[in-house]
Amino acid sequence: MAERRPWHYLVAIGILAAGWEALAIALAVPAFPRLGPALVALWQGVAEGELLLHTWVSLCRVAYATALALVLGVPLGLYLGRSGGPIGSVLIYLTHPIPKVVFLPVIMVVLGIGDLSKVFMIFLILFFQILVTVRDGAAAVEPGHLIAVTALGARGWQVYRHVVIPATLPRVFTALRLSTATAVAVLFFAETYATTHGLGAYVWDAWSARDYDDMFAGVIAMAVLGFGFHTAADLLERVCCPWVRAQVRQS
Amino acid sequence: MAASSPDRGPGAGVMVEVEDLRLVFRHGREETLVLDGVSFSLPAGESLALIGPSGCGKTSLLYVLAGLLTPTAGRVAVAGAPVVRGREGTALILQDYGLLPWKTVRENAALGLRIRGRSPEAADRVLRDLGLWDLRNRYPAQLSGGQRQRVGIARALALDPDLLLMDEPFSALDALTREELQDLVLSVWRQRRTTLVLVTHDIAEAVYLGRRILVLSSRPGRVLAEISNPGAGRPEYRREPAFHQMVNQVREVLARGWVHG
Repeated sequence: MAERRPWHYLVAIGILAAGWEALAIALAVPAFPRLGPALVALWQGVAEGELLLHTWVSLCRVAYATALALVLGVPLGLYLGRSGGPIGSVLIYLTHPIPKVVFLPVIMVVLGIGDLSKVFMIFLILFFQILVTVRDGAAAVEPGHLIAVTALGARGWQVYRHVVIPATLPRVFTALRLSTATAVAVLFFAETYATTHGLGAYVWDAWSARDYDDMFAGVIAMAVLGFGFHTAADLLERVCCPWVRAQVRQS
Repeated sequence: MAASSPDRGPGAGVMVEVEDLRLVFRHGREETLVLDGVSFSLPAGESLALIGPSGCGKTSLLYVLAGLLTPTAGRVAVAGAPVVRGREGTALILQDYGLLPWKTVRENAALGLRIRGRSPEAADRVLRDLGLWDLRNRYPAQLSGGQRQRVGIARALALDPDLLLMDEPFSALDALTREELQDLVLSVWRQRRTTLVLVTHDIAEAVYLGRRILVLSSRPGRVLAEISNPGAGRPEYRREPAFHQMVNQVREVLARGWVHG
């Protein structure tokens, strides 16, 4: 993968904007506004601070859910990948495909309709993505690397520390990039009830009011939020996995 | 360096003793006999080359000596004690994957010391000795094949081992680099008198580095011949007629084993 430069971003945004305009002109329906009015609505939302508040609330919910999914999903994934038996695998493959959104009513009853249930909903979806990715990564550790450290006398935790964890770490970041995008998408469900804040609520309200410019301002904010998480995961990976860049540069 | 442990010289006793070794791999109900009735002994400070057709179990034999595989039957002793995994004085050099891609040259070289809870300083010294100090902050992906295997040797030497096990360490390298690293191993052996066991499928390598050559048959691996090769251990040997005669002799034994085995 080639290094991304500023002009790459500009070209990509240009293509996106041109596609938007073409689609809006072709559809010619109020529900899909031209880019101009949507950007004006976005600007107003940001200037008044309202949209920033919604974005911040959503960001916090996704961040909490991601942190929780990592804290629980990574150790469990490492364990299942290295020492977990077939029962663990079957459990994952049975529960992974279930659309977690269907549990929303149960979650609402058990955890209430406040922030906790929203964070938990997002967590549930992220948890499985991270669990499965980490488990597969831990199971695919190069046997030669394990032989090398065992021959040096490594046991138990040392094998995890020197081989299993670093070998799996790049996959954790891949899982993070994929799942934060999903998390932002899930906001649309999780923030539709009992809340006045968050981007999901913002889009939902605008839709109900048939204020399509505002609605798309919210959609753009979601895209920016997702992009922000993606970039954060990239930067973290650079810091935590410097060897990945060394390998890319070499090949 | 050689002066640090005078009791390591030749004649100081037996470093490796293998008696009637039998190794069976089990995959479910299927059993594969890998090694059968293998016996040999190697005095401390000597060098032994294990050679044989691919699949003959020579790598498995090395793993048994490293304590990574447990023999099905027979007795294996290193320095007079039953073999254990991660023995303090044993160092293993692998063909590939020996280096961890997420660790720099310096971290890789110090890995054995860190795992054993010892100070990593010795690794820095060895890196300087082997001319790797300038590369210390690189990752394995940024090194050539020869440099990588040099780091593998550095990691082994940092442990100041009395038994050095090598599994086809240079087979992936080009001919010039291979000879350069063979010379490096030879000079290490001459300076330290570390007991050396080398698995190889390269006849010239076996003859150049192994003062004893153990020829194994195809699976199940049995000892076809144990050849004494007293000329080995000197850098000039490669250019002498005796070297080429020995290469032919080993080739002969391998060919006969191939037909009858």
